[in-house]
Amino acid sequence: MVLPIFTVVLPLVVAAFLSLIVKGKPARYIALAGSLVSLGMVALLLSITSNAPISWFSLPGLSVMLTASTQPINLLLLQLIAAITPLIFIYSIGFMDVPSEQGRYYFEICLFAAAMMLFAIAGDFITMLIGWELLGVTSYLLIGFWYKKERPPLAARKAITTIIIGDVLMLMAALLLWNSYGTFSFASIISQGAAPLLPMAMVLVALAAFTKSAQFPFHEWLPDAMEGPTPVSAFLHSSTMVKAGIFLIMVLLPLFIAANMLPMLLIIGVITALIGVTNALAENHIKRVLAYSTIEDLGLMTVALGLGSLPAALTLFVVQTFYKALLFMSAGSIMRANNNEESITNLFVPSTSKALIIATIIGVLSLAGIFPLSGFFGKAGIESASNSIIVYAILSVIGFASSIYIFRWFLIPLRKQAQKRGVLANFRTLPKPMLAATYITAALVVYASLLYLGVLPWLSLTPAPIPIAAAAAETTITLIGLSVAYVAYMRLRLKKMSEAHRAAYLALYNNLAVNAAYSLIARLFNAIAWVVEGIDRNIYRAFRTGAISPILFARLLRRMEDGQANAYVAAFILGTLLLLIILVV
Amino acid sequence: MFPIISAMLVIPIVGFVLIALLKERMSKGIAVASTAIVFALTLGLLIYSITTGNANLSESYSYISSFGIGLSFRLGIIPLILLFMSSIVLLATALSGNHENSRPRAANMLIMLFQIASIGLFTSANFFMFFIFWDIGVIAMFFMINVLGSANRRQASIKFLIYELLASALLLLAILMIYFYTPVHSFDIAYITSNIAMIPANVQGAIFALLFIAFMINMPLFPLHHWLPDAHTEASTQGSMLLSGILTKYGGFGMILLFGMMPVSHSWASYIALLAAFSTFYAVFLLMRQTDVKRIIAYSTIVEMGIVMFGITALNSLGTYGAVYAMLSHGLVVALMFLAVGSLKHLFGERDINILRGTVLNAKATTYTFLIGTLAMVGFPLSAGFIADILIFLGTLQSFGLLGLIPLGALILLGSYMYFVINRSMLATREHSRNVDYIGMQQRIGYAFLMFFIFLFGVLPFLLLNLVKL
Amino acid sequence: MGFIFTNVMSSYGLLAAVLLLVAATVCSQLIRSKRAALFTSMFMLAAAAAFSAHLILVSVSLSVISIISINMFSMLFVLLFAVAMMLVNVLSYRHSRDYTSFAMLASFSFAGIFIVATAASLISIFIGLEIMAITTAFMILSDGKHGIESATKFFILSSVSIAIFAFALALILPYSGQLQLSALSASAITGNYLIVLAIVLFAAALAFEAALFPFNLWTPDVYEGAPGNITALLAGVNKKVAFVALIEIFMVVLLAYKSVFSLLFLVLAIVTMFYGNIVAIVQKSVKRMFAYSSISQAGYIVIGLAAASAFGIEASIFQMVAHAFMIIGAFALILWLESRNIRSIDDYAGLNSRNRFAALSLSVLMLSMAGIPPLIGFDGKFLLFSSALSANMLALAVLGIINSFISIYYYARVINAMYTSKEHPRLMTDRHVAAVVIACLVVVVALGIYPQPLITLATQASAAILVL
Repeated sequence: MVLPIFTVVLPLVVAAFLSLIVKGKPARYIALAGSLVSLGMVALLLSITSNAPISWFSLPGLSVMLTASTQPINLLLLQLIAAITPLIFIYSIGFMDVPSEQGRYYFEICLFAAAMMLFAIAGDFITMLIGWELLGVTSYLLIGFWYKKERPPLAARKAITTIIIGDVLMLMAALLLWNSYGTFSFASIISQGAAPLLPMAMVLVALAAFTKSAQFPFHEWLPDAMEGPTPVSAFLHSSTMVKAGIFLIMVLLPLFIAANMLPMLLIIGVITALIGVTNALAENHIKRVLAYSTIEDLGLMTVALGLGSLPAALTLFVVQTFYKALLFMSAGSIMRANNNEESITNLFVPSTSKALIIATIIGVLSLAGIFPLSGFFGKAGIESASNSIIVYAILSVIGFASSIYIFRWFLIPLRKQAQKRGVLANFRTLPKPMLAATYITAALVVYASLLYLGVLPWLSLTPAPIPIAAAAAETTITLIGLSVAYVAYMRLRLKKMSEAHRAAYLALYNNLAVNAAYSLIARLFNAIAWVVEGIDRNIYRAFRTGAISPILFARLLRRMEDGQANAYVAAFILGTLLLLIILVV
Repeated sequence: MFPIISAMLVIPIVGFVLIALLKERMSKGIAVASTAIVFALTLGLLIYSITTGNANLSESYSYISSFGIGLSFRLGIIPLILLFMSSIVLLATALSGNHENSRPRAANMLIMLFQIASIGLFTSANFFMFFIFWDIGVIAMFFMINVLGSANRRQASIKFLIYELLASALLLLAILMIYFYTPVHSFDIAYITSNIAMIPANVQGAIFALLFIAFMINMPLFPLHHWLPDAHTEASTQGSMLLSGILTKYGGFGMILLFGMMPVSHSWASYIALLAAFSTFYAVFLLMRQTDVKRIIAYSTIVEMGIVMFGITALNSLGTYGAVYAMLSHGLVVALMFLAVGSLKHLFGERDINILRGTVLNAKATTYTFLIGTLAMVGFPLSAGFIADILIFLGTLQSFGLLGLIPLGALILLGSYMYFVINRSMLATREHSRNVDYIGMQQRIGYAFLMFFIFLFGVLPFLLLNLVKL
Repeated sequence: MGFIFTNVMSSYGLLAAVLLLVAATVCSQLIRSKRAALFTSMFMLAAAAAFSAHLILVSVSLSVISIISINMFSMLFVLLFAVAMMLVNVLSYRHSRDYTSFAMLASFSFAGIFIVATAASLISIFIGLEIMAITTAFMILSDGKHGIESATKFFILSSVSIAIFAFALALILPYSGQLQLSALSASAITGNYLIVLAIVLFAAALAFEAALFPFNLWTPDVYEGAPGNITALLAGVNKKVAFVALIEIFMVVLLAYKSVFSLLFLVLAIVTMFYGNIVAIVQKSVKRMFAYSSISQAGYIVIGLAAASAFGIEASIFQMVAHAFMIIGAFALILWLESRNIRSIDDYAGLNSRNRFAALSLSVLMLSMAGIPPLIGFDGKFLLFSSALSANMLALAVLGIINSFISIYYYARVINAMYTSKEHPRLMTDRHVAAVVIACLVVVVALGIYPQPLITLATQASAAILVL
């Protein structure tokens, strides 16, 4: 039987609504089963499905098709999602232990996963937009999952505001491209090459992608999004959804090249990566550090795309998925054991929980880019793709700083010894599913490393070639970073960067005034609204004055009747005369 | 063939008489039955059209023969879509709009009257009937505000009436001019459309201006929109659902007729597009200053109708059908939103976002409905609004180029303010509004019913759009 | 099924009914029995209505006696006035201080009205108007607190108008040599500017009765001062009689001067509409507001005369019938509410919670007057504005529509007041008033929704008057 390829999302959609109906504990097994079925379907995808376009609707002058694309890059993302979804659900079995909220939780995550899959296989703008906007909304729901608390709703609103901008810009871009090319399909747009309005459309696509992938100046929602449950941060806000924008740029890269937009991508990528890496240095919130790190990674991917190197971007794209998910999962476990303490200066990890520490170390080393872990291939690949010494230098600085912040992130909690007995016990009683998921993810990071080492056959994608010199330089820089971090935080026991550079630290701690700029823009719009309101009130007042003028006239006329019969006779005769005059003249 | 259109008209008339004569407690049942039967009939019509691929239908009876005015009805794809939308909204309104079940006889009689007007208006084949049903609708709505409204309803209803009857006065003048300037005096829309060239050019200009202003007041567009927020604030929930859901579509439908009928509209289209775009942004900025949830939704109507007008001015089939689809979507969405707001008011006795707090704790279904309504309002994919946005802006892109995309920007502002509202008054903070009552089954059914169609037409747009033929 | 009456018999029957009406009510005045007076008045009026209805049904046109012409036009109005008179009688039975006198005067008045409606010569019009004016003055006098003042005003002004009418007659006589309408229309009076003077004088004299601006200054005072049933009679019947006379004189006798009097009526229509509507806005007393409203309605009726075509007359006739029922219904309600001390708009506040029927029916009547479809007032205005357009008077139609829009405001104000919620003791519905109002509402709604029968009648009537 041949089914449309879109059926791949069905198990998750069904699971979503089932968990909403069932509620309570069974929901997690439904969700897990749904994700496993869809994993199976992804594995069997090519044999049971067809990717023939489906006609959605047509009317004279327009025919909208829903197209699926089964290019390797689409299948890659699809597999990544299919693989990571069950892990997240396993982790959630341990993590999400509030029965009353489980139905909603699994509903939202399943819906998200389905949307992400739809996005992954989308072969045209309309299909993509359906997935794209669903991603945004499920992200909104999940960030604001703990809506009874104070901060999550605020964070969710910040995210959705950014995301709406992206949605509308993306819709504009899609329509604009249709106007130039007469089709929504990626493949046929790319095959037709440049068109007059292409640069404009590509700017819109890029901006939309930036909102979703947290690129400057739209990046500030991502750290706030850490208010969501940790599995959500591990899933949406590090490994899948935030990469939707990057993925779209990858798919449309030929168009960006045709529109000469690579320098723009490069510049934005560099700025974003710098912002991410520096903010991560100053941040103390355990998840926000990782969020800034994600911003940095995303920035680096944009840099790779700006350099025109799809393999380099793709490599980081793949490996980042696993190590970032891993780091979030460990962070979730550590936070839970520390009674949901959030600041790394107050957290501690006992040396007794070795397995967790080892798993975390794998993640940390991979992020820092230590050979032969997978992160190395991502970072070194981008550095070796750089086309000028300036870019290379900046990338090296970023790599250096990133190794410092990630070791800082890891070392500060480690250096303390357990003061509270409860915390130690907590580490011992961490839910098994959480740990299991963490270890499986750690294994996947290693597996990915093996893939890149050439031990295992990789899909049809060639990893980015890395010259030996570049690899050596990268490793050296990382190791220096590691040493610096070790000296600073383990030996000198610095708590924060602030003790060294207070002014710089404060600027970073305040997110470089990006948030202030956001609120300035909001105020600007409010001011416009205030002015418009005033104008509106005056327009109405003018209308009203015009409308009641007959009434004023009527008051005058009323005086004509004073109740005197002789006056009426006079009026009578006058009237007669007037009529006569009218007729004669 | 079975005279289905006149049957649809007779049902609410019978309902009206029955409600007037029978006991007051039976009135809601009769109103629901009447709207449900009409809904079933329109659904049947829709299914018939989809299976045969043909939405055209007409009926004619003699009426005022000395003027050649017949009781003639004509149904095509555009009237069918609007008719179906209005029958959905009316059923939801009759079923769930009256939370307190206050003054059921008056409320339901007015709903019946409004239903007569809506069915008649969307199906009328001549301008005379169009005008008559227009006025019946306006008067029914006036009483809905005046009799069933809240504290300041008197002023609001007078304001509404003055604006709307100004519109109908202009409409009357215009159709009389059309009648007397066509060589064979006629009110028939199809006849006039094909013989419009017989009317002298300057008269055509005057007629166009009159009709345009009349419909513009009703839609409404800047600067003639002042009646709408007040009318909504004071109207009952049912009144608001019908007012924004259906009454404003009279103007939109009229605009589509007008732009299809008069070639003179083409020379004005770009100026009108500018006005529509301006009106959209203007309304969205006004919306951002409101704190009453109902007023916010009211202003969103002006925003959306600005976009509808913008689509019509594209003067191509995509823009026009996009406008129709947007009216379909907006009618359903705004009815859903007003229903939810009515529930909030019923539950918490309050609609101000500075006072409402954490409604999600005590009114889950209503709050989620509001959220889904918000999504649908900004054109979320799989809701009907998304299809409408695609069609409208493809149309305007073809006509105006890049400028045709600008009104989409208003959706960003609209959406972000709506989320602000949700954040501020619906999601939980430490303090929250206490509930006094639970929302009834009828309201839940109303939510589900409206949402079903919002998403049905978003997921399966081909149902309606594949009927479109040129 | 054959008719019992032959047409000729019917015609004589009609005349007999009118004469008997007067005689019978004089007798009942002697025995001073309210019941007897009501019974005889109603019976004879019903007989007159039935005869005229029969003649309308067979659409007959024959002149029976030399001064009385029987045609569709005259019969339509005899029917209308007989029915209207019946309604006023029912109303007065309860609400008149001295019903037997009222019945007698009303019967006399009806005789005059009958003479005007069926006039075959200018003299009949003169006599009829005179009878009507004098009896009306007495009716105003006999009733109400401000009776004397109102009656005096009315009497003085109507004397002036009748004098002017007589003067105009005298101006025409030398040129025509006779006063028979049909003969006059056949031999068009030859041009002379004295004729223009005659036109103006006729118009002025009748404009007084028809309450056109600026000859209407008496109306608000008199309407307000007179008791409601008399006001209903003045606005619903007397005013229409003046229009009948206007149509008979201008459309038959002076048709050759169409271009002249068309302009005259154009001006009268515009100023009357604006005056009535604008001044009505600022009134506080509902009764006075309706006085102005009925002035503006008279202005609308003049539009048909200004169009000066068969279509225009048809429209005017339609609107006259429509307005008669609307205004009688409205004044019936006002009369009744006045007796409960509800006078100003402020008093009307919360009427709906006191008496649903009153609020609803007054609303419907006012909406009809405001020209809201599908009520009869809309159909009338629609015809009138159409007639203006068909006579190429676009401006007149535009101004008419503007006026119709202005009028919304003051009607809505009353509706608004009635539907405010205020706690008041309930009012019991008065049976007589309810009967009259329901009768009016039936006409307003039924003919509003399906106006074709009345349009056909009006077409035939206007054709009948134009062939004379």
